[in-house]
Amino acid sequence: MYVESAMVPDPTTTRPEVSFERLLAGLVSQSKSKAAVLDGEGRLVGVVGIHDILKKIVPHYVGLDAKLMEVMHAGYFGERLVRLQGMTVGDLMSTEIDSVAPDDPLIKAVSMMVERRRKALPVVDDDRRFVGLVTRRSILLRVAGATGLIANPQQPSST
Amino acid sequence: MEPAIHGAATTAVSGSFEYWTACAVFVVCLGLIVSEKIHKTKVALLGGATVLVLGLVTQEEAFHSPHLGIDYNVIFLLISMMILVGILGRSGAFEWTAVKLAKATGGRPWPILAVFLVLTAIFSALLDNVTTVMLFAPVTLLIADELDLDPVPFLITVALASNIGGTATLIGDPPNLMIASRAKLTFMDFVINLAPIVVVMMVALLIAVYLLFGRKLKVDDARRQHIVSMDEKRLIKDPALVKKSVFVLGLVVVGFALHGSLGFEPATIALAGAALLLLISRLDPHDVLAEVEWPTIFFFIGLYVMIGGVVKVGIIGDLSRLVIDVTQPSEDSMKVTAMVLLWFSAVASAFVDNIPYVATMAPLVMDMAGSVVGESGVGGHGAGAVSTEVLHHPVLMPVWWSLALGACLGGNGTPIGASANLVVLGIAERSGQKISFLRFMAYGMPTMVVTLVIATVYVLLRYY
Repeated sequence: MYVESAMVPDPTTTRPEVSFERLLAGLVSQSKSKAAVLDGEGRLVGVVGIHDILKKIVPHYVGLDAKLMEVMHAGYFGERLVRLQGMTVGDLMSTEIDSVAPDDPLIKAVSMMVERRRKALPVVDDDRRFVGLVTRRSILLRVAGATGLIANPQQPSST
Repeated sequence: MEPAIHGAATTAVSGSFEYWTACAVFVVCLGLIVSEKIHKTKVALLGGATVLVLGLVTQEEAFHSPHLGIDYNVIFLLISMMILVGILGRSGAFEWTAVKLAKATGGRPWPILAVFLVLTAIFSALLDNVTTVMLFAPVTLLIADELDLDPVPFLITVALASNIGGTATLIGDPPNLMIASRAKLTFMDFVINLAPIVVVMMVALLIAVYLLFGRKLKVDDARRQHIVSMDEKRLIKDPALVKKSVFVLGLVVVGFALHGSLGFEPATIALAGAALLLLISRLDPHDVLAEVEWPTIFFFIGLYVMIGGVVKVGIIGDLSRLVIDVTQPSEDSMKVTAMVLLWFSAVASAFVDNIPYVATMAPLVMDMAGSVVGESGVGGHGAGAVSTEVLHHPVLMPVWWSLALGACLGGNGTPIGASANLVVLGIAERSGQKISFLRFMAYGMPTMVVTLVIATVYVLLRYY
């Protein structure tokens, strides 16, 4: 069984020049937590999501001294979120990304997800062109359906 | 320059294979430490091991000789203080004090900065500088963040105040610790001779910071309100731990103040305090001991073994004679030696780790003491044979204070001059506030020069 057979049908994608406001609106309206970031030629250049946004608003010093979070003013996070206006997807995205190829064995994707605690992996071809996305759910549904463990395998979804 | 090492013949092994091997090990290791290509702890341990394997010092000497071996007074003082601070740091007492005082200023930025600098200096005098800035840098970032001010001037001046404050006491900065142990000086010797001038230096720093940017710091009322409305009580999760930690630290400070008259070495006081707090805090020793900076401890261990080799073969004795030739000290006055040492130590410490510098210079001054005011007048092997009377000779005392002042204050000159600076720079960079070498020097170099001028005037007026 190969990665290609377990990809979700409608992965969310975005572009590096997209504004933070549009990204936020898109993630909220589509109930997605992540989007693949593609360049003009459809190559995968990063991944951006709610995690990346939250990472930008948590100050580094609370990692050094967690006690300090106790005295930060209540409106701190709202204030920081507003300050992200004017940033783009390119400023926010993570560029260190794990990916798999369509013809990789499915177990390779599963193993990467378990070991690196990933919920989803982008699928790219030899030219790093984005071809799709596998999620933990899409893989489980595909495998469980094929083995007959579940009666009517649903269409894999990206959530 | 004239070949000043005319006395080389007086040491039995000068010019021998051992002599040049020890020289090579020392120079290569120092070069590697300065280059920062390999971690300094690895270099020092390898240097120490090499000296042992080549038989330049015996293991007996390295482990047990009071003048050639590891200085356990320094080692146990460092470990014990790290244990004490590690426990105190968990309690939230530092953050509580900082926030409480920030609130007391009404959230006004210049008074907050001034209070933080004074607080940093006081804590640095009582604890080591690295720990102090590791505790203060995050609170400083929080306050600057809440006031929406550039944190960089805050962070840099906290590092500068830490290095100045650390100069005041025996336990404030590793150079003082090492000098005290070698020269058999007490905690109160440092307080009496260095603390008064450190207060003057802190006043000078505050005035300079105020004039340069402190007075221009402005924030609106809403921002000030963020500080004023902080609830500092939330920072303390275990009030009993705070009481225990502050109680034991108080005992230790009193113990330090009295250690000379009680007849205890500082390490005994610190070790007793650490053991007591470890017991009454009921914390898991695995957790507490894991926070001891073992790489620093092993850096000292390796360094002491390596320097033992250098002392034994007579290199320090030869260097001592070189300094004597250049500065021409007499039994009546070592004024020129003190002044040269003050400024040379500062410049050296601004660019080279001041720990290996002082590890080398302390035996050198001991050797000079033996030659200038001692009974023997023989260098080389004489470094360990110097009596307390000679070490505390009135002519020599200003030299010790000059070495301490130079080595500690020189740390402010560049970002690499002191560990506290490196810690602050590291924290700033990870917080997205990269401080360049030159930006640090723009604050640090003038501070170093001004404090050295103050130190020079002080040493000349008080001792000559």
